[in-house]
Amino acid sequence: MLMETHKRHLLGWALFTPAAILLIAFTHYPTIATFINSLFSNSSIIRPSRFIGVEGYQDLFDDPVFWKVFSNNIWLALGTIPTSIGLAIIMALIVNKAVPGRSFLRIAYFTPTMLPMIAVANIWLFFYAPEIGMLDQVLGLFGIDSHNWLGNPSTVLPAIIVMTIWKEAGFFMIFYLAGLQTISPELAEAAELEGSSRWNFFWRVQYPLLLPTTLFVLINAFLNSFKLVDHLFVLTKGGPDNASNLILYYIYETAFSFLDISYASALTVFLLLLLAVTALAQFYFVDKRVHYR
Amino acid sequence: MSGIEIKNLTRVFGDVKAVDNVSFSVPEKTFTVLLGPSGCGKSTLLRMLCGLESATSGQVFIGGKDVTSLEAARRGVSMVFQSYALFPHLDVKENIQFGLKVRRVPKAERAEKTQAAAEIVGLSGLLDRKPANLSGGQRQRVALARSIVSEQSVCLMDEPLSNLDAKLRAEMRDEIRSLQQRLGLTVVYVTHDQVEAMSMADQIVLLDAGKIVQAGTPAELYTRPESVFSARFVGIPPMNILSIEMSDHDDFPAALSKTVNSNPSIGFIGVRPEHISVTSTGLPVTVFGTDYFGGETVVRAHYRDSTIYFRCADQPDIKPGDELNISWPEKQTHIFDQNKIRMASD
Ligand SMILES: Nc1ncnc2c1ncn2[C@@H]1O[C@H](COP(=O)(O)OP(=O)(O)OP(=O)(O)O)[C@@H](O)[C@H]1O
Ligand SMILES: [Mg+2]
Repeated sequence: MLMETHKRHLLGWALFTPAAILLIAFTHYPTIATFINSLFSNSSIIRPSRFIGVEGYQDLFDDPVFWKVFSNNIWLALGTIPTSIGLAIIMALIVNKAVPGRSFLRIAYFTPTMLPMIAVANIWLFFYAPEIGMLDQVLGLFGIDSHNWLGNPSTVLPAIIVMTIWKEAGFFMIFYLAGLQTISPELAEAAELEGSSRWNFFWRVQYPLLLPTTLFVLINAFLNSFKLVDHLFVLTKGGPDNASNLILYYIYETAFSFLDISYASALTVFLLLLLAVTALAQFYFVDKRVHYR
Repeated sequence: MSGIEIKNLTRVFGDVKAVDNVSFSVPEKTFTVLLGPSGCGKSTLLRMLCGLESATSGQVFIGGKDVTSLEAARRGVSMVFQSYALFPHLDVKENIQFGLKVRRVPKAERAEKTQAAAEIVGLSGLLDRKPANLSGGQRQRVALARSIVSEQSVCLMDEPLSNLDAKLRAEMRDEIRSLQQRLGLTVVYVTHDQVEAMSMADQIVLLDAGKIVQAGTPAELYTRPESVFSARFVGIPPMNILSIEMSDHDDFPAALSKTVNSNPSIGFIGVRPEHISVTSTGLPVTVFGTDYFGGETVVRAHYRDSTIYFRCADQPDIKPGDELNISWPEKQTHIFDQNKIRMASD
């Protein structure tokens, strides 16, 4: 009997261990290490690391670059999320109908999502390049002067926002398409018989039924706007003058260009907290939120 | 004026003729049931009536007006769907007045009509519930109330009771029928359940493979089936059909065997289970099963390759394996030709 229990325990541990090792080694340990690093100063040859407590976090609040980068992130979120959600809904409504060439449209809308961010950035580099870029070529036809879209602090963030929308809208479309397909076609027929117009049906039925989808997409879009930075490596490196810099890229710079591990750790902990709070909000809302069926 | 007239209506999907040259009329304020096996085109026909499906050819008249090319909302019909088509995010009240809102009916009038419709179907206490918190029967009532509140005189229903349990179904059958009569609705009702058809209809339109097999009152369909298909589709257990070729005519009731012998074009004869009785001479059958229902027992027996059902009162002393002789009054025989079509006998 005792042998039995022993064996079962052993099996349990055997199954648990590989996953635990991976989780601890690559998630928990780095998180804790980062937190600890953020409480200590950087060590150098002449000065060993010492405990500085929350000093790193105070630096963060006094750092104008941090605030610049953080507000860039907020602008990026505000600029991309509503528009890409709106576009996603429109695209989903289009490809949900029995239009000719529907599968082609679906794939076309989804393609930008399948591309890696680096590839997307390379494509858009070609659009935005001054003089020779497609945007300038087209605008040139209308007699509009050439712009250095990515080199000008006032246009660089909007340029990145447009690119991000292009990349994300197709991804969100998939969720809306799935959401639309759970709505029974009989509802549309019942509404049609009552004389409800397409627009009326969208506002009174489809939109409210898609609310859980919207909430899910909203939070994912918010998280993504902090997580996606690959394109900065190709397009702007955060420049000019941090005009397109984002938190994650700033962390990378701080750690690996400025070699300030302590400060990078404080920034990382801040970002982690922000994402954790958002993720918790997601669990809370998505679970609590009205589920109709 | 809300009678319906259907003329040569056809609907083709690819190479399937879902509805094939169908014509019939539904008099005002009557109850017509479209009956037939699965896939025979009942739903397609109903959807063409209300304009959710377009007709390949043919015409639909409602209240004397050609509505064939009119959009669904302007045909003056309401519809109750098989799965009720309730809006899951709206409460009962909002579901009922969905159409009123679309038509911008003033608020006070809306509330009044909603209340009245809810009372008719017995939902008054549940107006604030969401559909998810209603039973199947209650959802069905919401769908009915929505149809009532639209004040259309034509109401179409596609298998509205198929998601309910047997007891509730019987209740709702009565209720829908009495509602139709009270409100003077013209109803076209789709079902594949012949019990619903028999108990509710003024007129049954029996369909098979997109074509009308027979149209008439329930009694006409039961007592004068135009074909073997009608005969076997209506009635439980179905009518017994014997192939002349496979039977020994001398086993039939005397007068019948004379008729059969003198008329070579007879292909099949039919007799309802309730007209058969056990006799000392007659058709020899071997019993293979009995179903006791309390007031009656249905006996299942073999005659050569055919299965014969017959009813006996109470619980007769019949067991599987028994060899019996059966007979029936000659005038209760239905006679069909080689093509399974009823022959003019009288
Ligand atoms: N949109 C469609 N496209 C292609 N074929 C269809 C379509 N709708 C119906 N059909 C075909 O038309 C025929 C009749 O279908 P319909 O739905 O009218 O049958 P039904 O009598 O209502 O059957 P059930 O009792 O199963 O509901 C079937 O063979 C079906 O496969
Ligand atoms: Mg059907």
